[in-house]
Amino acid sequence: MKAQTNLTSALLAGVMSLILTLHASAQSQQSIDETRQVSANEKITLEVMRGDVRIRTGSDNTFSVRGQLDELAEGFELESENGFTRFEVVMPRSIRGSRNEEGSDLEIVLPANSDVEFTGVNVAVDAAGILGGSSITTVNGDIVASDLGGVVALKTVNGPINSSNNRGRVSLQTVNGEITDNGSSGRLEVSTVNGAMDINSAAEEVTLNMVNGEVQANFEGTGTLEFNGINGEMRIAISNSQTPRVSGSSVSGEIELQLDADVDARFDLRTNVGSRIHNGITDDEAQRPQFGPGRSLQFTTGQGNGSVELNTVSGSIDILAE
Amino acid sequence: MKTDRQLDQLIESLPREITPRRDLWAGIEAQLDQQAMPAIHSRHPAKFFAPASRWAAVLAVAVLGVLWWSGIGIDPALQVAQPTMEPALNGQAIEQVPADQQIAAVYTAIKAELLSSVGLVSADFGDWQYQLTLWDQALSEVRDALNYYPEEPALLAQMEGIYQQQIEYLQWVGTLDSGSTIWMEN
Repeated sequence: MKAQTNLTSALLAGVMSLILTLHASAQSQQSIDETRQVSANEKITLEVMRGDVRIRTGSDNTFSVRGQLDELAEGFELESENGFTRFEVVMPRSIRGSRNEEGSDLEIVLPANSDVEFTGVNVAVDAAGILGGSSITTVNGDIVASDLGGVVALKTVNGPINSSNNRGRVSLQTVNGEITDNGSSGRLEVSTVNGAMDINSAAEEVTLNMVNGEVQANFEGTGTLEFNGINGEMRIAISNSQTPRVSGSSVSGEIELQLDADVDARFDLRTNVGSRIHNGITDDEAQRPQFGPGRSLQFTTGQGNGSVELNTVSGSIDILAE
Repeated sequence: MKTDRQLDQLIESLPREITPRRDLWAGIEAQLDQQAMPAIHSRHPAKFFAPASRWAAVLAVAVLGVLWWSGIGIDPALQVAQPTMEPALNGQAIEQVPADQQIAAVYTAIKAELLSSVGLVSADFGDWQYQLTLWDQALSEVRDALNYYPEEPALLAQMEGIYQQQIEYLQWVGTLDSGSTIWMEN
């Protein structure tokens, strides 16, 4: 009886050690070094769920991926034909991870005129130089993007977005992260729910949407600006734009708008529930309407070729001259 | 203004059959007999008058139709409004409903549909329902302001913008529900 118990124990121990060995081998990071010839304007789809990914452009028409796969990866898929390339780090459907596990650590090089679509979950992405369009989406992780062109859409739920020198149609969107943009041009659309925005842009057309965060923005030569906020403060300056078309609103947040001293525009400023309008451009003062608790201020500078329309429910409005 | 229901009732009250005031068959029979006889007459007057008589018949039918419509007392405004008639809010025609309520009705329906399709929301969004209440509070503030300034375009635009933010957020929340890979980082 005792001998039979010992045999069972030995078998169990053997099975357990085999499982642990397999588990350990499965969890060690696998290296990858793959290259494919692709077209100059390849449509490239990338899926990397965890880790760090750098995307760079090369001088020839090749797609390459090098580095280490996620410890928990079941492998990778790389398909390339007819102008379409798709790379995916294959992960198990359900994961209970720990902080000690390593995600993928990859560098991807592709042609500069590629159109890239990247999707991840807990992944930090650093992309540079892609001119054919970039759509980068993560859930938790930083997005750093520079010198991108075409249609550029950067989107994350919890990570910050750091954008620099991107041009074309640029869209930056986060829920809880902070957005920093420097040197963007073309059309810029920035949206946060709880994060802050820090923007220094030369985009011709700009749209800002914000719920609870704060906006600090400096625009150079921007012709059209639309911004909508709910609770946070918005401090915006536009320089070298004599006839801007500005439309902005907030619910209870403060709006501060600084314009060129020689701005040429019609101003229509309105608060709805008794809050303050400060005019730092002319001597015109806000008036109380015949009915209702609000205040309004209309005036024109120069020929009135531009327009500035600001509206807040219970916040305040400050307009300043540079 | 008459409603569709009133119009239906009026149509229902019309008789199913109408008996002519005089016997028409005798005249029809005589015409049929004439057509059966060999025609030995000049064809020009008939060719000339036949189209005119047809046009007269069409005109008579049209006049009778107009008289019938006006006779049953249909409000002319109904005929104008009918092509653009939209689903009413609480029994009111859509054009009588204040703009803010129209906006609210449209977006509330979209929100309800999105909420019904949202499954288990990813924890990455945090307290997403609290986030929705922040937009609801903002909407409430705008509605309060609209009480002072009804139909104010800037406030209506603001209201629509807030709803759109909320809808976009819900759409985003919906894309990361339990249908995708389950990530449990400890």
